[in-house]
Amino acid sequence: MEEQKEENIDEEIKTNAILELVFLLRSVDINSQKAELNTTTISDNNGGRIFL
Amino acid sequence: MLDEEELDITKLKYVLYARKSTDDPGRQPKSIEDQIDECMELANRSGLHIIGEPLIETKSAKKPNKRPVFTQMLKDLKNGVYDGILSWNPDRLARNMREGGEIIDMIDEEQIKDLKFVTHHFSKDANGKMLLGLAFVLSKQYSDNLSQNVKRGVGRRFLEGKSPAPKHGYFRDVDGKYKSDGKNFELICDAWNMKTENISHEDIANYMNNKGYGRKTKTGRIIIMTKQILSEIFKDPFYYGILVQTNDSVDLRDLYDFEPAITEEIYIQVQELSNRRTKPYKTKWHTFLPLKTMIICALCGHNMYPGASKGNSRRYLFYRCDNKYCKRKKKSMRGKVIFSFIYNFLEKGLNFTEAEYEKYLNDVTKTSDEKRKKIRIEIFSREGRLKAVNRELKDIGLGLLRKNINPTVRKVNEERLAELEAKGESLESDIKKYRNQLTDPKQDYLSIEEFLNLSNNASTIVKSANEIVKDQICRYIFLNLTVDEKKVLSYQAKEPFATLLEQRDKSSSADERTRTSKGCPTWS
Repeated sequence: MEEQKEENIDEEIKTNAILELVFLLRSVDINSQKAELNTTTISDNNGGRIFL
Repeated sequence: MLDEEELDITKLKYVLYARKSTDDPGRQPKSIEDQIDECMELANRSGLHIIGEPLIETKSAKKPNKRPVFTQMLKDLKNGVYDGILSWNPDRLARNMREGGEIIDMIDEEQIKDLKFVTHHFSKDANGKMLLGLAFVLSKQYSDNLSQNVKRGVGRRFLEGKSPAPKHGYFRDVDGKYKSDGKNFELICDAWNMKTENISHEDIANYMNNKGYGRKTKTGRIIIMTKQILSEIFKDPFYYGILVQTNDSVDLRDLYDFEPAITEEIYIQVQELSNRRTKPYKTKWHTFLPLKTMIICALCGHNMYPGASKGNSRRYLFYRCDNKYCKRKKKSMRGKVIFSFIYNFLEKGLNFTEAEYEKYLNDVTKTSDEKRKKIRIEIFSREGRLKAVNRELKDIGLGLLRKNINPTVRKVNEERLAELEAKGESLESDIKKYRNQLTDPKQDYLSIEEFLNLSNNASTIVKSANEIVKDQICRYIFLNLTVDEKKVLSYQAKEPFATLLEQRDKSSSADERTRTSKGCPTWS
């Protein structure tokens, strides 16, 4: 086990894509005020919105 | 149900199941060969009819659904390939209550007609099943107890300043204490000194490698220095004596004759330099346009790049093919077309099942621990920067108190003072943010219902997300999307989603889809 840990120290921990995706999906608040706005637009650098 | 008296065990078909986990060698009393020998002895003595070769499992039975051989054996029992199981001890069959319960349930359902063990007598009556249940409970208790003791042991060793984590420039002696590693240690000291002179990571790594830096792992692999490793090293407070683990930190200088590579002062100085290099005061904020390099033109095969239309009223996101040889009539396509495809495509969910949930549970603890350890190191790093900021603030503040100060110098110092105050506030806010992230790791866990809901609501979530998260989610699922002049023609998904979505589509509207190659379903 220790040898295994030794090998891992200099490499990124390879986590599975499902776990990473779940973290991302969880970070989104579907009830937030911006959620509806995000459905059809994205924000630009001047605080305005760009339509999809 | 058949009573034991009516059961002629010589007519039953038994399967021999032997298991020894490679995770915990040496803790189990019997090797696979010994288990098989003793089981065969019992089979000969009792006249049992063994079908096929013994089934050998090398996976742990602590958690359910982790043993392919065992799972297949239960399927075969249900299909009548075998009537009973012969094994060395009940703990070979299960160390968790779910699989233990499944075996008892299969006995009730007559899918398992008999069990034979070398070290346990099973009878197929109420008492026999109760005793078997107790044997499974005891197996689980043994396993849980072992896990608890190992965790406690690791915790105790950490408080003594001993850790399995290797560190560059150090080796661990027989007691597990960190000792300086001769030439490598000297080169690590040089690296920190070079960093204080603001020399680039690339140059430092080259210098170290030219001088013969190389850390040998236990497997004999030599790890040379890279700028990525240096970035981690220059944040780690270990090099002045603070060893950080997931939930705690200890000062090695108080515990034994630990030789730090640097002083705390140098650590703070380096954190301050890192801060200057990575956070310029004026950053230009660009508009983030999602799915860059993911949209392919079906006509010429080139990437289509995102852009925003210029207009006084409404501005629109579009993807444009800039290949001058492309025969496309309309060079660009609205982003709406592509996102509508993605929303509709995800409407039916990501097809996560219990198997994906098991994988998720398996990795979430490991990732969570690693994340918390990194957060602790970030906190140390920012606290170091904050100390440097506060020190400079104090010096400038004292300088400004002098009466005969040149007005230009005063102005410059006042500006620097304001800058430092803003930086201090930002660092304090970062530290607070990181501390808030150090929550109970159990909060990271999802129940299976929550997990499956996330999968089913993927479309709504992508819709609600901002452009950056939309982009990230799509990049996890898709490799690319190919579009013609009107619509999305096909997509390539990444594993494991390609397989999951393929299964989803097969089981639903297979008639609407065709396949081009494995893992690349084509929507038409």
